[in-house]
Amino acid sequence: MRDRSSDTEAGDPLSLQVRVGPFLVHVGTDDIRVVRAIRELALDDSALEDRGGGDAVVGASGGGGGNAAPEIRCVVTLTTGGCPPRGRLPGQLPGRLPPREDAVATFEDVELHASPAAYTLIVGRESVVVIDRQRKRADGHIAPAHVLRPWIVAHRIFSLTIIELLRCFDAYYLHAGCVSDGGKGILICGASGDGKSTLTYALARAGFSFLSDDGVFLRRTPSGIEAFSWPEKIKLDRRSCSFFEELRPWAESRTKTEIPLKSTRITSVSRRSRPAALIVPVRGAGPSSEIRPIPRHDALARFLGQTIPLLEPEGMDRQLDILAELVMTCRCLELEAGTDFDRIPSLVRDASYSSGGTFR
Amino acid sequence: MRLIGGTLVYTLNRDVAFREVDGSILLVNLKSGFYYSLNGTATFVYRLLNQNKGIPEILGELCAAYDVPEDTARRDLEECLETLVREQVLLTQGG
Repeated sequence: MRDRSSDTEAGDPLSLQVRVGPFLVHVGTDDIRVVRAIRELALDDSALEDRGGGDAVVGASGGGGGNAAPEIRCVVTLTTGGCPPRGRLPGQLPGRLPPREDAVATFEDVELHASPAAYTLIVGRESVVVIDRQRKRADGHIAPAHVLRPWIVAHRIFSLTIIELLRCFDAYYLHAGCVSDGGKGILICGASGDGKSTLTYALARAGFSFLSDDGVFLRRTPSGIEAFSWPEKIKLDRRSCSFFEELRPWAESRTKTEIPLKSTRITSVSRRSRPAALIVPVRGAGPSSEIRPIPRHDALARFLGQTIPLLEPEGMDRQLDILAELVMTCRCLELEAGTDFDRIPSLVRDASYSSGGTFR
Repeated sequence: MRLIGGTLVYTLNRDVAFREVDGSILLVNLKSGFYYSLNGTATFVYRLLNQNKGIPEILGELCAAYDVPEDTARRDLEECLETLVREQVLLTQGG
């Protein structure tokens, strides 16, 4: 394997391709730091493929069901002021930023502006990405202060650009973990701190195929709703790490740690699945876990609270449609999680997949 | 605020989307992002409002469906409408 980006100087046009479920996102940039920041997000550093033209494909290469080849190509260009890749930008960016109060949605220092032709994502009133809704491509400029901060490049600019860009393809982001077994997905949805990542990891280390511990995209297909992801590194806090012996080295960390795949017991990574069950984890009082069905409208309300806040009304309405369909077609469960992580996978498997209809 | 018997005209806020799942209604304000899960009575009332039924008609249907005296139904309906107005699910004119 050869990583072209690692031996290229800043200022040269660079590119990498990121697989997000059925999408192959071609990212062009003029700055090696942008490539590095995006690569740093990926779950599996060893799964970079040379694509002949020198482009690195970032994303885990796991086996298992639902890993069909990407079907849809789209383009993201992020420049920092050096040589614009392939002659693009910054000419397409707006000369003046629209005022924050005109945003259709805001999230911390991020604004979303929407017009029939484009979404404009503004980060910290400095970096700007314009997403052309007809041409379904994104072109952006990253401010000098942001280029120095890989976390902002990766999590704020790149990730949110992908989320808004895929919305042009009617794919909607959900803040949820996801694992699958034989292509049948389990979505794990909850607020930060509810145990979403811990449960996702507990299932993945027990043989479920891993999609994400933090966020997935949902889209309708002719055969039903599909969940897909770009597998990022798993992020666990010290308490969660202490539950699993292989993660004990991270149990002393003060903040959430991004765990590389090779340090985990995950044996299978998937990019796509058909959701069969929705699980809302809650912290249990005792050591023993319990799983129980919850009403569909309750599940819908809890899942709705975890959609990305950067949605304009039209997008929110369509996302609501998908979530409503999801709760009608999946088993809706609540897991009161104890510390019996060796038992939880069988509880979840039985409740999610077993026949008999008890949980429907 | 007295909602029943005055000249208030209620309209559903078109920025609020709703979905009915297993007999319960979930409302989402598409502009603010706030969402609400309605209880049984509120679901009953919202369904009728969405069918463009007037307040007297809703009051009558509440009495019949829940088998309660009109005073009780009126109090519950007022409380429900006040909440829906406060949360901008319902918009009012006149009064």
